[in-house]
Amino acid sequence: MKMKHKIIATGVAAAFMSTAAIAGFKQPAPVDVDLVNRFAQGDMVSAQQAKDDVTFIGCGIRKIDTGAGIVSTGFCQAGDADEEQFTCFTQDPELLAATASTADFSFITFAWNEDGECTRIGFSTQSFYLTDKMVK
Amino acid sequence: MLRDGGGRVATQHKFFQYIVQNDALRSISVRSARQTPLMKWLLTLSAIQTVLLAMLGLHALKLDMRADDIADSVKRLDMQMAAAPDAAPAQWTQSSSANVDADNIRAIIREELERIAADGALQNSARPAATAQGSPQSAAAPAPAYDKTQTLMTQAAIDQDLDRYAKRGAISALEMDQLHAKIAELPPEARRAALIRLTKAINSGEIKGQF
Repeated sequence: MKMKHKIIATGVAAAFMSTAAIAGFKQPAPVDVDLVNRFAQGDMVSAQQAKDDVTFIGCGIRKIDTGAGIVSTGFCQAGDADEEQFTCFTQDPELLAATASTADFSFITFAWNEDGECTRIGFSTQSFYLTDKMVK
Repeated sequence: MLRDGGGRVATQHKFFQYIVQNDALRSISVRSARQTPLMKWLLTLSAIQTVLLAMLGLHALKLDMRADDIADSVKRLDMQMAAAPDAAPAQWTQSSSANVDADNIRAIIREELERIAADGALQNSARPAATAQGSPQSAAAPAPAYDKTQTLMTQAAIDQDLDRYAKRGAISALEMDQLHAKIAELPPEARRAALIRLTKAINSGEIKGQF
């Protein structure tokens, strides 16, 4: 009887271990806004699941047809748990192209200059930013 | 002239009538007349007038000397600028008259730079919008023309909006969209300036809202 329990317990443990192995490597990146060094980073999943109502991160583009042509303005913005937040904008063609390459649940990093213009926009879409709940 | 001459004669006539009618003066000689109160008063006035004339002359002399100084400074400045156009003359910080000239020169240079910048902005804004966005399809699109008056009016409207949102301390998503639509109407440089102002207002917390 005892032997049977041991076998069952071992089986259950093995099942849990294999589940953990299936989930894979995780590396959540909580949002951090560094106003001194003028950059912000974090992944959207961590931001969305933060236990506060101030954390967020994202980038976007507005394309406006003025009648004389399409005017595009890109922007990135983030706020962290310390309630530090920043928004930068860009009209640079390369950075606008980078902004367009965002994906769901990406890790985002951006930097800005003294005028609030974005000087760097980066995205990284990796499995380790996804949570267990999302993959199940 | 005739009227002036007649007037003078009439005045003299009245003056002599006064002398004749005055019992105190009727019988006195010219020498004793100098000692009358009227003559004393006239002599005093004459002395004061002489002193004032002397002071005026001195002041005019000083002004003349100063004008010479200014002329010399201008000549020196011209020579220095001709010799070394890039070097800032030492007189600019030493002579007040030269400072005036330097200010004038700076103002002229500033005006010229502003004019060149404005021309450049218009030329830049005349580039196809899609070229800046790296879209080959719209690279051949006609250059958008920006009317200066319309641009100024749009800028004024944007400034007014930003002031209103700053006063309220917040901007809604709809208002942000409308503001961006107005900003998009501006030429590139003015658009950039408006976006900088908006971004600074949001980042400083003056206006709460999201892009």
